Amino acid sequence: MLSRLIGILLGVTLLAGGEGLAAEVPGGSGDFAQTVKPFLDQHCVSCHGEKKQKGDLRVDTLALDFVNTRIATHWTEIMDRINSGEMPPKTEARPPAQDVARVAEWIAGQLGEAESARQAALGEKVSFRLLSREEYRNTIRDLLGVTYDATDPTGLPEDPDWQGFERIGTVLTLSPAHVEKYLAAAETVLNEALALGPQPKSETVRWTAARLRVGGGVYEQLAAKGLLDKVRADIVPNNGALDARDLKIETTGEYVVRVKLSGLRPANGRAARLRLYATDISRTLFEQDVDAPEDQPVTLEFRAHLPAGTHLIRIVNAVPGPNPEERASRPLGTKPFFTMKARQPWQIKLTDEDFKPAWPTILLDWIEWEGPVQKSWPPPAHQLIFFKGESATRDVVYAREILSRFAERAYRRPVRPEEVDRLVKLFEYSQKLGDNFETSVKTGLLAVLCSNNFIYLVEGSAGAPSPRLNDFELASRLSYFLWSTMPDEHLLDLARQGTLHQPDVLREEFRRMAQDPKALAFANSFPRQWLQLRRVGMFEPDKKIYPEYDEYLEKSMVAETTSYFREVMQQHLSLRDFLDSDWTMLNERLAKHYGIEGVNGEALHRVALKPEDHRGGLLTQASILSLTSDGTRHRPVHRGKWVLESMFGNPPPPPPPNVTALKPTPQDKPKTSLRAKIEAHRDDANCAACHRKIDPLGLAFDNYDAVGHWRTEEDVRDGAGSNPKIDPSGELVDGRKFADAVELKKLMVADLDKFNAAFVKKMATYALRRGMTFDDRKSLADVASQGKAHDYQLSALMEDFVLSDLFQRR
Amino acid sequence: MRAWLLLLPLLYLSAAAHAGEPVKDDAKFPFRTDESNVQLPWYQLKPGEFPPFHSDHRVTGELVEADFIHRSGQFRADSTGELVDFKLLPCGTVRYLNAGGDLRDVLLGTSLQFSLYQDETGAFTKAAAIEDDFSLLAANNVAYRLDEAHVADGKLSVTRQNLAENQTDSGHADLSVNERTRVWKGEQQIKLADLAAGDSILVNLGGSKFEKTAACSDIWVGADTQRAATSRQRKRHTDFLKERGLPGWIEHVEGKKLSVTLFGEPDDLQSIMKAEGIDPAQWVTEHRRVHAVVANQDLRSYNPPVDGQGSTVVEYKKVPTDRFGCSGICWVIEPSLLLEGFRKGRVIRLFAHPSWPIRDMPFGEGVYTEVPNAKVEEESANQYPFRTDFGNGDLPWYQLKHGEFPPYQSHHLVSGELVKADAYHRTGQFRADRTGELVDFTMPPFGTILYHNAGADLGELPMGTHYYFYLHQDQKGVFTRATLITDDFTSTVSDRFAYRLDAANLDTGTLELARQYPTMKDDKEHLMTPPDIGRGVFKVDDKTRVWKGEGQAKLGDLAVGDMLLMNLTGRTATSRGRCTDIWVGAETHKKVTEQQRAKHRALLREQGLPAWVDRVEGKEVTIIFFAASRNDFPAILDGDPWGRPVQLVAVDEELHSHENPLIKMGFKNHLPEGDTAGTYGCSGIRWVLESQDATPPLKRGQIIRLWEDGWPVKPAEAKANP
Repeated sequence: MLSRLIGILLGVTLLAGGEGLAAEVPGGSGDFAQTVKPFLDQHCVSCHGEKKQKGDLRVDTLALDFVNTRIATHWTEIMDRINSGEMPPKTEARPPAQDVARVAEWIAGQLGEAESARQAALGEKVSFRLLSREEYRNTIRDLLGVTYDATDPTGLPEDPDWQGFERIGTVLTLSPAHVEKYLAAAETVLNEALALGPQPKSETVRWTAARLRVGGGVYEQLAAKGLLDKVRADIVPNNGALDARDLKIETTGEYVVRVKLSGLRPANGRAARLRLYATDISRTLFEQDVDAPEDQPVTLEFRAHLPAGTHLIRIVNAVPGPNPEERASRPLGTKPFFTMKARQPWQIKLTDEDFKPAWPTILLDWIEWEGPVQKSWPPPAHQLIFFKGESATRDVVYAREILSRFAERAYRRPVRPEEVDRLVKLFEYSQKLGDNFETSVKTGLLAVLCSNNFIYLVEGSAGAPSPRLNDFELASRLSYFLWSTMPDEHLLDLARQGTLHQPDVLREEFRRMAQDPKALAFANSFPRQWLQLRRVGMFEPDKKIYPEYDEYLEKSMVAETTSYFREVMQQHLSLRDFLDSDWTMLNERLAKHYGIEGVNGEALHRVALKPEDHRGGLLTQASILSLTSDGTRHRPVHRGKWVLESMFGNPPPPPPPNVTALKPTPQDKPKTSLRAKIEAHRDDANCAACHRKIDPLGLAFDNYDAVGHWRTEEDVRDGAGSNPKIDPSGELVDGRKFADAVELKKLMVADLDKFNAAFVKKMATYALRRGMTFDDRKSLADVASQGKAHDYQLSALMEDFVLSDLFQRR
Repeated sequence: MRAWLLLLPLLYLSAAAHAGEPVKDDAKFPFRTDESNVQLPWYQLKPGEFPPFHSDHRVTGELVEADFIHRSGQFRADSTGELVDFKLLPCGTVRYLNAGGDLRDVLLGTSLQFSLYQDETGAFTKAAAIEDDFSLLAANNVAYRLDEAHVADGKLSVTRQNLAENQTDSGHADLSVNERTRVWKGEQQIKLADLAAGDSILVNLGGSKFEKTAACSDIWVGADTQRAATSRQRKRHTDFLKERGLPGWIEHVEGKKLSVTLFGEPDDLQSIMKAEGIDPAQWVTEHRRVHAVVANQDLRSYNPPVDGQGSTVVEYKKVPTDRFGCSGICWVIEPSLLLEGFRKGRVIRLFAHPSWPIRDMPFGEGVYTEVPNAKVEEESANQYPFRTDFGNGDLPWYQLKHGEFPPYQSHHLVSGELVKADAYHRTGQFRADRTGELVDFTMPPFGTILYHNAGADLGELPMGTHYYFYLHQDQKGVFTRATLITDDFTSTVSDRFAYRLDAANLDTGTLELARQYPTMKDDKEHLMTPPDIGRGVFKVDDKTRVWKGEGQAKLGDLAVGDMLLMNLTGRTATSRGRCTDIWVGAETHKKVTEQQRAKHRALLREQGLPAWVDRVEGKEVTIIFFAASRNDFPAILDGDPWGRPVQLVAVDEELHSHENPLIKMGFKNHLPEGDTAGTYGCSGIRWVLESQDATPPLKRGQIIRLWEDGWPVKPAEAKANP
């Protein structure tokens, strides 16, 4: 069915004579009849045609059904063989490289399109789109008022991605093991949300520095001298696992954590950075720069949601340091620390000769854990669910009401009587087992939270198939698009009234929702997925080459990009700003990394850029430059490929198999730049055809190393002599030349429509949770042209998209 | 070599060559010296600074005690007979047999010249250089020609010769000898009678000039013998340094670079380095790595194998050597990692050659391998919120508070001889060592005594014996409150060592004793005896009692190698006192302690265990027992009296009941020691008792005596006020 549909689509495209395709299909520079078939006839059919079928392959009759994986495999092989130069064989005349490239690109484009079609899963009567972890957590928060730690090891499995998008329905699957996790999750959240036992007692546990550090009988001696509160814990930079202690949590819930400490900052250096990390749940509970002199400690306070159990908490000074975890960094239980002037002589020197800080150092006084803290008892969700209060008659009628109301909210649509009947049966069964009313209701609630209707976004109806969404489905689509969570009551009310799909109502609702703080979820989540920011730090930069790189920098890099997106959205700026700008979003850590003065603090602020800062737009942000590098060096080809993929929606064909790696320069030969090595590689005509398109887009950013530092020379490790100067110049496929990244960005701005089209496609993939297909092309183009009419303003483009026909289509 | 400095009066030749000479001004010297510039102040030591030549106060005397670990000791000044405590400066040098050395190398009784500086109190106790006669003579190319040996008369007639200036007659003298004088020729020890006229000799003197017992301890005959003695000593000292690293201090820090000036006499250190194949300049050109380890002001390192830092030698500077202890060799090194101890003025040690083994110092010497009571000086002053004997001079002393045990190290330690004791009132008087001042003392209720390393009553202490008084201030700020009193026996056991008899010179009434730790297991679980940590001369006489096993023995029964503990008496400014009692052998020591422990246990069970009330809550009364020894106290009890009643009585500050009624209570619980750890007079044992009355007649802070069920109760002894 599906393959037939794709075939039809392909047929339509071919009949259309490539109109639009040449401009829009990745790699499309000609259609099958004009480009591919003549090539095959000339170079392939003699051996793979009617007369001969070498290797059991016949190309003249090979179907164009790219969705059929068996046929797609043949096409892939053809692409790889001609790309690598293996075919035609050496005994035959060589086809021109540009012809090879054109055919390879065409095949790659068709393969990509087919893959999108598979992801779109078109043709299903009812589509099920699993909530991502983030969406599940947010939905639980809004449904029950409790936090579910979905990303803890005991939480839900990590969401797989497709082209960076972590919410594609057909990719997010659910195995039987996962079902158990959803059941456990439901149990956990209901236990916290409902008051099924006595109110948990809130307790305060204080870890003093003396308790953390003093041992060997010295503790009691200090107590006798009244000195316990004078003891501090000197936490050296990069202390790793040196300071850790078990925290016993009796009751899952919200905890208030207070920390009294000093954070010593060297002159012109970084502040110390406190990180509290729970190892068993692999979670950073809190992280913040601390800038407080030794004699002026501060008290920080934050909240953390902690599951019951014993958690090993690491107290970390999360800045690079000289001597992680060796003896000189370690405290001694019998020699407590009091002041920086009286450290042990065998410990690493943390201050200069005048006892001024030389390394960012934390002096911890105590950490206090208070909780679980509750806004009320019973918890608000309990009161909402058992809505008639304590005086209600606890019977099956009341239970039915409760379950019906809850299911409607959880399913984000009206609930059918037979659905409620099934839930009530569970209630009754529980009652028969002797459970009390609340526990029996909870059984029904559990069933709701484990239902398909809750953990999936369900679109369509088996009985009445429709290509369009109904109002409830539209409410969920809008809500999960902008807020990454369930619709609120206002939105559901409009759905109940059946007016949501009306353009004026929908516009009004979009505007209301875009103003809501929950819309930050889109500003955070969409750029992460679109730009594939989860790849930042995937290859941890080599500590020897980039000693200053740390988790804080990595987080700041990602935060720059997401904050930047938010700023463009909230300030109604243009898509142009994604390509080039004279501003960015920085905090102190990242500004220091960029060498920009005058930015203080941890929060990101909008900062005006000067040309000499060498930044502006997304492409010169450290996150992008970093995710397109490996842990040791920049990767111009990866960068070029990323630009084609993410900024133009036009991914290049995959490299042929068995491509030889770049060889290191012998130590007795002059140092060679990566650019020179790549260009030498490109002498192979077969490589050159594609790389001509890819490489200039990456080499333009050679002035930025693997972690996004600006440089004018490439730090080459192999070979002899001085480091080569950077040459970022290049030429686009269409012959336009540029001197450096600045000029390239200008050329890209001049091609803003291409970016606009690609952006709309990415946004639609995110919102519709499926790949875009030929069917969507017209709608996508319409949205893009509306965006252009609004001068590419992001907020307007989002509104246009929500109001488009595409947004309401399944 | 500062040879001209040594053109000094050889005191044994002309006992007071300069005595009575007018003090003159000498513009060459910017400081006061023994001979000149009386109008100028004495040079005051500065941390991290080598004291300049011609600024020292020079005193000669006989070495009577040496503490190897703390590089300190005591000598008897020749001129006054006074006992002088000294401590070597970090850069302070010992020159022995004309080579560098350590206090360990110097024989007890040797006559030495001390170059001294004032300490914080103004007393001349800080030694920048210590030299024996051999060194003083040899360094100046001076030797004696034996003119005539009158062995029977205990005298050698000699002529002093300055070999460098070919002066064959620089004066005549008589040297005393006795039957203990050793004579060395070549590799042999020869007899005094073998000395021949014309022999060129060098000597060291032993004994007290003040007491006119000084005589040659050793005579080296001939230049070859003398050179061999020097060479042996240099080799010994080289081995000593190779094991520990070359000491020096950091004079400058710039970035990661440390300028380290090595300690030692220039000629001596250069000889050692040459012999070891170390060329200071070459070490720079070859980018050699040395191992730098942090050390304290006693040159004791911490944990060289772990905390040592590989360091590149980046510069060699020759620095002025006209300063005590300055070798003239300054290396700029760059360690891999900067440590807190790499600061200006701090001492470090350098393992300068890759073949030198990097090991911890022996037990007791390395700082990181702590020995009880030896650690105090290493602790941060911040650990004590009050003044102590070793720091925090700017803070007030701890003040006793009712109902509170004073914390660890809050005492001021004074030692002296017990003159009077009133056991009933728990008061007494002692005569302080050195000053002879009579000090009255009162024991607070929790004040305790450790005698023979076990608890004791004041009435049990023999008069005239030397004790250590741990004093706190009274309300007038005078140190009269004796919180703890111990004898020498206890003090030595607490420090975990004992004295090993090296020589018994009964004709002069002296014992030469070495301080030795017991055999212990090393980190590989092998049994070993750590090296000696000190040495001292102790007096005995016919009143000295010797105890061995079950009975009394004689002084003459003492054998070299015996392990001894002693109690002393008669310590004054000029006398190290004498031993009143000597206990021979570990078994004897143990037995004496056990006897005292049993005696004290019986006494306490009869008188009732003193304690005070820590808390009263409803019917529950929490008490804390007083005790001299936390370790011993549990054995005084019959365990926790679950299900058995106890009896107690309220007593006054002197622990007397004055016919107060007995109170019967039940035992409820045993609490941990909590914040009483390390305090004085506290057993660390808290009991929660339950009163039969709804409101027990006791308040917090009330002092009581307690008897367990079945003990003889004797609360009425209060009547018998003697």
